[in-house]
Amino acid sequence: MDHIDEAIAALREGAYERAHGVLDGLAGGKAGTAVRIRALWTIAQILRRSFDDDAVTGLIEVARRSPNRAGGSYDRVMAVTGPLEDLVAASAAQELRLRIGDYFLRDEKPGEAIGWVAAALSAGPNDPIAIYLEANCRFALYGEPQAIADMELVLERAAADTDRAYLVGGRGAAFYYRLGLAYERVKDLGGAAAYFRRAVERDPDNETPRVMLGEVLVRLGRFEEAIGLLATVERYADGYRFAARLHALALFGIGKVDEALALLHEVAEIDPLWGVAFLEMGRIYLAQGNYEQAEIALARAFRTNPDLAGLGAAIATLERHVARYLDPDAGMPAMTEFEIPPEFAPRLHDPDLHQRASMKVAVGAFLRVLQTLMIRDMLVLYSHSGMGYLWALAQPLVFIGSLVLVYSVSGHQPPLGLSPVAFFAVGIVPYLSFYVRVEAAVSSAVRSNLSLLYFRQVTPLALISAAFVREYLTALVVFVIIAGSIACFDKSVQISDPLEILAAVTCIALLAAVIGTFFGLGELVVPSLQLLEIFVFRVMFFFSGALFFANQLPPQMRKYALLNPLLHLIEFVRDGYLSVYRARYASWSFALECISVGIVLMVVLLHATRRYVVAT
Amino acid sequence: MIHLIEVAKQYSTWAGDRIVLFPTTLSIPTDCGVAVLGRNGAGKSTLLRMIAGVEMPDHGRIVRTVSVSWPLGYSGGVSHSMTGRQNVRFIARLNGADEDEALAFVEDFAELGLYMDEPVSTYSSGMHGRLNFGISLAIDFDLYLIDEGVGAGDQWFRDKCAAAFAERRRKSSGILMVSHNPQTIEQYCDIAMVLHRGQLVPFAKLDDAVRFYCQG
Repeated sequence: MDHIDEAIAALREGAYERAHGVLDGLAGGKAGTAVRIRALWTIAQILRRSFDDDAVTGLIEVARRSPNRAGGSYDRVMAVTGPLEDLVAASAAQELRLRIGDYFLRDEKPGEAIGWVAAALSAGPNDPIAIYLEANCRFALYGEPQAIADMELVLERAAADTDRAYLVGGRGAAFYYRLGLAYERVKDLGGAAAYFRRAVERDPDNETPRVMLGEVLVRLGRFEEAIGLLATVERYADGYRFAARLHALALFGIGKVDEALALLHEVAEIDPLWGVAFLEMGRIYLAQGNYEQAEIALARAFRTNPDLAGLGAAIATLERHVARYLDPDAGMPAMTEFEIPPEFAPRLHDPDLHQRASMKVAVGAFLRVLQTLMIRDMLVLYSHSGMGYLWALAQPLVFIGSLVLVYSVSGHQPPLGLSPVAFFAVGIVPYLSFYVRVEAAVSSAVRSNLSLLYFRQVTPLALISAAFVREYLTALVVFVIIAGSIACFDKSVQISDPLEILAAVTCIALLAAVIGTFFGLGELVVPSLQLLEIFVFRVMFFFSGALFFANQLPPQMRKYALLNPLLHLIEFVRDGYLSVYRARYASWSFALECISVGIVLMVVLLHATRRYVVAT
Repeated sequence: MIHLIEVAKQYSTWAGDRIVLFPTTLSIPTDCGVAVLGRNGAGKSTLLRMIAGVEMPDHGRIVRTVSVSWPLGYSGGVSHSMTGRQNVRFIARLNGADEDEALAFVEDFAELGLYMDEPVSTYSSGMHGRLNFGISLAIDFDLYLIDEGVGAGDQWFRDKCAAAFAERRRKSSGILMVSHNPQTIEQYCDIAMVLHRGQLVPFAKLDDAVRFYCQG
């Protein structure tokens, strides 16, 4: 017989202590076995003693690891254990269901309780405790008035079952207490007071019904009665602070303001983390018109727990009276003299402090981040339909097609005996793919990925670099496809210098990256730069040479057009692509100087804006 | 250790400059739970972001001699158009962690089942929270930075988060938690600092920090 069988046999015999001993510390090999052991252990734990924290932890763990992921805790646990009657005696099975249902009800989880309680009712349709708890669940879940009537109907029978009163904790006072809660919820304070009082009579040592009765009495304005009831709660009892708060409210209700404040100060001294005491103090000071003390008390309540119910309303009232916002530091010193404890003492001689980062490691990490960002961008931009890549190819083709059409209709002929397709392609593709797309991607790289800056590894430089490399490589593919196809099929084209083309398109992409970085980062600091970007974009296009040869331009106009480095670079693309064309006016030194200056400015800008570029 | 050397920070607002931190020099231990208490708007999250390395101090420098997480539970790094699986791989790769191990952890921890292969945009807010926390915990750091509370979703998931943190604490990972609510930090922290009017006041005892923060 293995351990599980032995434990089940012990459970059936009612030897819960033995079953618990067998299962305690037992680990399962497979996941299914482990969770079954945990379930049996939890059953033994609940049945051998009161429903303690270990039992709750076990129950939650079994439900969480159950193969049934869809249902509530009852269905989940049953999926592991099977019917409880197969494991333990019928009375013990009913005890388990009622106890667990009662636990979830007390923990204000009626949605979880209902599964257990409904099963208990099904197993014992005449069991008054099951009927009572089931009605209790219905009331908690749906607020049915009929549920209160159902609870009252079996109340006396359930409360009389003193042998099983432990199922709902203690001496059965819970039956009256919960009815009191139900009446309190439907705003029948008289009914609530009556049932809370019976709960207090049944279990006079329990502060919970006493405090609830006190609260109802305070709300009913029966202050003297409340004071008599609450004054008996011991100073060191668990519920003292709640009782003392109500006691203070009752004292305030009969005009004993100083006594009420003294009591609240005493509670605050006992438990300085309980913001409710400060909140009540603040309310009393507010009612007295003592706004200075009210502000100090409400600021303390705010610092202790800003989410306290009613605190916002009290602060708003104070702010209306003092005609300014609450100072949350009210009552605290302006500056604090303090000594640094040894735990936080500066360790400026720590050798790690003076270690320099290895360049090799830094470069390796940067490249890893770059690669990761590029893969992410590819997945985000292109994963779903592949339309992103298609558009990268289609955009210049559509543009070239339209221009060729216009040219053909107007009867124009390109110079040097070139076909219209070759004439436009050699200017449009570098402009659209290497300049426009790269500039747009780099310009938006930081702005659209600000959230990624929450990862320390991701820097604006990494985001810009990833966008640049991604678009540059995409543009290369597009260029090779389009320009290569034209070169193959168009007899007017003869590639003269592929390296010159590569150098020129790379420089176009770099120029686009510099301009994109300037506007991308600049707009984070000065958003109106976007207007300048549109203007620069248009000027760059008109003087880019995408639609004309520099050699064709009138000298006066060419002088100004050649101020645009993009024109020089597109001219070099033509120079390398068309053997019949020589870029007489383009200058490598001018283009490279512009790019170099741009890169230096880009580095300065990256450094200067690092404080502004913060993850949002 | 996290060394703060003459670190200062301020913001310019319409109402004038607002000081978050006066020049501060101290070393924060990373082998225990450290709390930073401060009221709303005191600059706790800014301090956490500076320690995480995602925001620059105006003056001084912060030296991290251990691996430090990003502020946990943060959801911004997750792309909604990618699947849960792709997001886990992305963040693991970014942090130089083993992708398969991270994925196995998140699958077990977040209990998203087949949803791991669905775009995150289809997730409910609870599933989103579980994925974020799963990813945060999937990578081993020496110091975890936590901004306001632990865990999203229901009680079971919060218990799970608490257990995962306890496990990391056993593996001698530290926690730096900022909160405006003293009750939140008691569960996780041993020592504390209070960020109060630009001063970062350190306390060797959590109780002393809480008392100072609550009572002044």
